[in-house]
Amino acid sequence: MKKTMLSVALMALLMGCNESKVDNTADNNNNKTDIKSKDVKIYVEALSSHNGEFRAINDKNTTYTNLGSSDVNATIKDFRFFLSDIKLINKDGKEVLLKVKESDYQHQDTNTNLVLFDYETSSNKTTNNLIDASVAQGDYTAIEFTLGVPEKLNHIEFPDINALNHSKMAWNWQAGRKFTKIELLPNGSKQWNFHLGSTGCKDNDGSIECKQPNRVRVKLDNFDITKDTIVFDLSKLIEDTDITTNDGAKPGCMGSLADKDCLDTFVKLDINIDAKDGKCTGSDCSEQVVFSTGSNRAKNISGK
Amino acid sequence: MKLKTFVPFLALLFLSCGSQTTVEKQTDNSDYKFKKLYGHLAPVVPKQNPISEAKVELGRYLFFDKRLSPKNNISCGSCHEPQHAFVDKIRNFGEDKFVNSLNESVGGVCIKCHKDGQIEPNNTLPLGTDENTIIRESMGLTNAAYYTSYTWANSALGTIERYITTPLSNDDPKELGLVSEHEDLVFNRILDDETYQKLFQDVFGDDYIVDQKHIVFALSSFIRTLISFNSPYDQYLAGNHDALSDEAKRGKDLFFGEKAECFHCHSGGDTRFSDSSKDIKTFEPKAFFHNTGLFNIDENGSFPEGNRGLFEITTDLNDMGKFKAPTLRNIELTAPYMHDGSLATLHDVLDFYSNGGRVIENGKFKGDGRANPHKSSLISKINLNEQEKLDIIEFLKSLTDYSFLVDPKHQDPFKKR
Repeated sequence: MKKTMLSVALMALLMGCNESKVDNTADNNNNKTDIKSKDVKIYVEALSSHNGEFRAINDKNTTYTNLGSSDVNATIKDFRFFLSDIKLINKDGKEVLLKVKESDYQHQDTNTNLVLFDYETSSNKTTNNLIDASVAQGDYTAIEFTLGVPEKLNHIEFPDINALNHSKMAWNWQAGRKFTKIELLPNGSKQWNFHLGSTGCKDNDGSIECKQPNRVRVKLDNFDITKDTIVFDLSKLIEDTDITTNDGAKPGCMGSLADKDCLDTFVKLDINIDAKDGKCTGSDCSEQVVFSTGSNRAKNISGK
Repeated sequence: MKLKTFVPFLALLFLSCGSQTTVEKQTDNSDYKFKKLYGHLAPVVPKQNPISEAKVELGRYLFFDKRLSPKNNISCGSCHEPQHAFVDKIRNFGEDKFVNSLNESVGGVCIKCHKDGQIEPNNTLPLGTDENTIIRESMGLTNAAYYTSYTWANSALGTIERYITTPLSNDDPKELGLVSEHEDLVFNRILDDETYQKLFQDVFGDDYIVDQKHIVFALSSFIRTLISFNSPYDQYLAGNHDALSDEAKRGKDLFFGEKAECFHCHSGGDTRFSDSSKDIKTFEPKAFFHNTGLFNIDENGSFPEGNRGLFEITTDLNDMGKFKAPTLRNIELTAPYMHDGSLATLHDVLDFYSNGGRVIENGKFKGDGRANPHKSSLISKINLNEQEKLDIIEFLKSLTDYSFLVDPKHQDPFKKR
C-alpha cells in the first residue's frame, strides 16, 4: 500500500500538481505588493463581571457569583464559541482580513477565517484563547468579527477542516454548528445552556438554507492590536435572564426565537427578536453589550 | 484487492489535480445492486457515500453493536428491531396492557405519556443509554432510503448520513450517547476488534480510519438496504387477485378514494405511502409536514412544548404540530401510533381520522384538535362507519411484508442462532 501511495504521489508531482498547492502565509499571498506582513496575537478573554470586578472564566471547579437576574452562584461546565471573518480596520476605514495560522483551533479559508475559543480547563485537553494571525503592516484602529461560523462552512458534513472538526460543536438537528456552547450549573438548580446557531434550517435537495442565521457582527472601535484584548462578558449576556428557571422545553436557550429563555439574551446580542429573522437590529449589531475591548484585567479566581 | 484500489484512485487523482477535493478511498466499487422488486426504482445514494456489499455488511455489524454506546448498553438495533419492522420491542407487550393504561387517561390521551407535561418512565416510549425516555416513538426504518426528510419532523435532515449523527451523538435527547468525549473509548473498541479490522479493511482499505464519518457511512449504507416491497398488496398489484381479501380490497378503494383520502399524504411513487419520498427519477423531491389535529392547547393550535413538530426547527407558527407522514408499509407492526405513541391501535387511528382530529376534554392538554388553526385542509370529519374502518385496517395489514422481517441480511450478527 505504501508503495502505491508513493507512486501516486510521484505521478502527481510529475503532473505539476504541487504548483497549485495553496499557500497560507501572508508573505506569499502579498508578495506582489510592497506591503510586508506582521504577526498579530490577539487574546480573547472570557470573563464574568460584577461591581467592577472581572473574573476570568478558566476553571470548571470555580464558583462564579452574582450571575443572571436572580444573582445566583454557578459553576461553568463548558464555555466555547466561534469567531469568524475577523478583520482589522485601518485609519482610512479599509477592512483587512486577518490571516490566521492553521492549527487545531484556527482555519484560514478563502475570503474568511474561523477561530474556535475553548475555556474548558478541568480536563488536560488543550484550550484556546488566542487569535494567532498575520496581517499586512498598517495603522489599524478597529477590529471586526462575527460570533458564529460562516454560512459557507456551517453545513459541511464530517469536515476535514481545523476548528470546524471539533465534534462537540456539532449541532446535528439543525445540520450545522453550535456557535456558542455555554453550559452553566447554577447552585441548586438544573443545568442552563446557551447554544446559539443558525435555526429554521431546510435541506433543499442537498443544500442547507437557514431562515434565522443568528450571527452577530461586532465592531470594536479604538482597538489597539498591540495590547488590547477582546472580552466576552458572560454576566452581560445573562444580565436579565433567570438561569435558575427554565421557560421552555429545553434547558436554557438552544437558539430558538420561540424559547423565552433566548429572548433576553438575544437582546444583549442585539439580535432583533421582533423581526424573528435572527438578524441584528439595523445593519449591524452595534447595540450588543456582550463583547467589549479589554486589557487582561480579569482576575484569576481559580488560584491557578 | 490492492490493484483494484490503485487504478480508480490514480484516475481520480489526475482528475482532481489542483483542487482541494478529497477523494474517499475505498477498495470496493459500488457493487451493491438494489433488488428490483415489482419494478420499483432504486433509492438515491449520495455521491460521497457509494454503497457496496462490504459496506452494507460493516454497517450491519455496527447497527447491532452495543459497544457503539459508550455505556455498552444499547445499539441502533435496540430501538429498531428487524422482527418489529425496525421499531422497538417495548411495543410488543400486547394491546391489553396499553388499553389498561389508556383507561387511566383523560379524554383519550395516554396520561402515562404526558403526566403534567412530563414524560414518565415505564410507558411505550423508547429509552436512551441513560435509561432516559425519548420524547418520540422510534420511527420504523422500512424503506428509509426513500425519504426526503428524516426523523418525525426535521426539514434540515435530508439524508440518512445527516440523520444518523443525531441518534448516535446527540446530547439532548441522548440516545446512544456517543458524544465527543467518549469517541476515543468507542473507536478503540472497534479498532481492537479483529472482526472489525477485516470488515473495515474490506471497505476502506488497509489504511482505514475508525471515526464518526466512516461509522456513519457504513450505518447509512446498511439502513439504505432495508427495502420492503413484497407484501400481499404488492403481489395483488402484480396480478395475484387472491392476495387481498374482499375487506382489504374495499379498504384499498376507500384509502385511494375521495371519502377517506388517505392517499393525499400517504402517497409517494404510488406505493411508498409517504409524500416525503423520492427515488432516482423523482423530479424536484420535497419534504412535506402536516398538522393532523392531534392537539389544540388553549385553542391557539399549540402542541405540547418540546414536541411541536416542525415548529421546533423553524419557530414558524405555521409549522406548529406538523409532522412527516411516515410510510404505511409494515404499519401493522409499529403500534402505538403517531409521533408520541398516543394512539394505541390502528382502530384508534381510524377513529381519529374519521373525526377529523382529537378532542381532549380535560387536563393540561385540553383542547379541540379538530379546530386546530394549523390543521391540514385535507383532514376533516369524514364519518367512516365501523365496517369502513375495519376494511381500511385490513388493507393496511396487507402492507405487511413478512419476508422483510426475516431477511437474513437484516438480522443481528451478534445473536446466536
